[in-house]
Amino acid sequence: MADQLDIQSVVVALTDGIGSDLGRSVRASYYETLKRLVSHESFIRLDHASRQELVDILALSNFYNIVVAPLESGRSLLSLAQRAQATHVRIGRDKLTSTLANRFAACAGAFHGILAGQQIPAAVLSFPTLSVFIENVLQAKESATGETLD
Amino acid sequence: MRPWIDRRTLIDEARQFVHRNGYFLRTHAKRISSLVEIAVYNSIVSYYEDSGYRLRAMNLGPKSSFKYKVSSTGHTKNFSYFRATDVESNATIDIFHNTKVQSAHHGHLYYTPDVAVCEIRGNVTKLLKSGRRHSYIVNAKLISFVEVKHLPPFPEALFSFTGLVLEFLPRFIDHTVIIDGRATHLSPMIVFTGVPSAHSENIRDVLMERYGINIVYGTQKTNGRITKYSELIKYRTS
Repeated sequence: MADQLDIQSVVVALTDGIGSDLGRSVRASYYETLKRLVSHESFIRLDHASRQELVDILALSNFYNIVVAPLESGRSLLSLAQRAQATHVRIGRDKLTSTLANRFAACAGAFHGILAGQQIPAAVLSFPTLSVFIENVLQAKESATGETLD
Repeated sequence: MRPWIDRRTLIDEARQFVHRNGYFLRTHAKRISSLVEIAVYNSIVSYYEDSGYRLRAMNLGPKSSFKYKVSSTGHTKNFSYFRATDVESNATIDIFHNTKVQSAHHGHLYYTPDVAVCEIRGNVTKLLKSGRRHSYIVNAKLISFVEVKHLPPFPEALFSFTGLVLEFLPRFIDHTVIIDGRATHLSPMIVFTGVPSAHSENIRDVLMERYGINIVYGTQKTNGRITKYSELIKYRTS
């Protein structure tokens, strides 16, 4: 099933150049989840285009959850601490300042820009199970294209 | 048929994103990884803030820095934590990170969860026979704890968590707590960052139903939070 699909291009484009620590985590998580996705009953029943879309969004999802979501939480962490009278946050020897948190937010914003350009709602990148993931992506496709999928 | 995703554009934009942000991500990789664990602590603190608690950062360091305790070593007094006070009832709790909690069955057995919630001043520092000091949360004041696993959920880890609940908050196992969706305090929780198999989904459903504990699977994060708060199981402390 997976051999008919391009399972490499999106994940490689997202991870080639972000360093081995983050890149390895994203790819390991992606390929492990992909193994389950391609054998999922609901996935097998879909046409090739929808399966390719699910594979591409799975790569985006893994990148989002391992790289982008922590950046977003870094910013919210700082604002939480500042609301509680702290000026900045120290994580071990690292210092999380407003400047760095803003840089985190800018990076996360650039990623969301890619999603917006493709009409992919960020909400589909977060899911508790693969069944929910497939269902959410198909619904998002329906909204974006006005096409009803059987 | 209207196409949805333009793959060529998506791949080009992904490459451009990495071209522009790759250096930044490479240089902050370690920090980004540690933020994953901290995001869960953050979520619990935010949960209380959203539930009407006023936050106060305790034990701030030089220049009012909030010092996160990123490992289990070190005294609690050397790190920051949040104190949260219910603006209506004035009930106050402390929310710690990587701090030891005392067993409910034995006064000298401990374990360090990723997050622990306790009544105000539930954390004590005692002198050991060896002359060294150690800090821990007294079991009688423990309200809840959270364990974070950077793994896909698997049966052994799921069942093992019930052992931790039995040791540290056994009232959930013997069903003497009152589960109440309108209560504030969260039941003990385990969070997995990975995606579950169908079998792990079944185990979660059964254990949550049987013991009233929270089992959260990986990418249920919403806006950096671990899950929708309304979906978490809560219980009455009195």
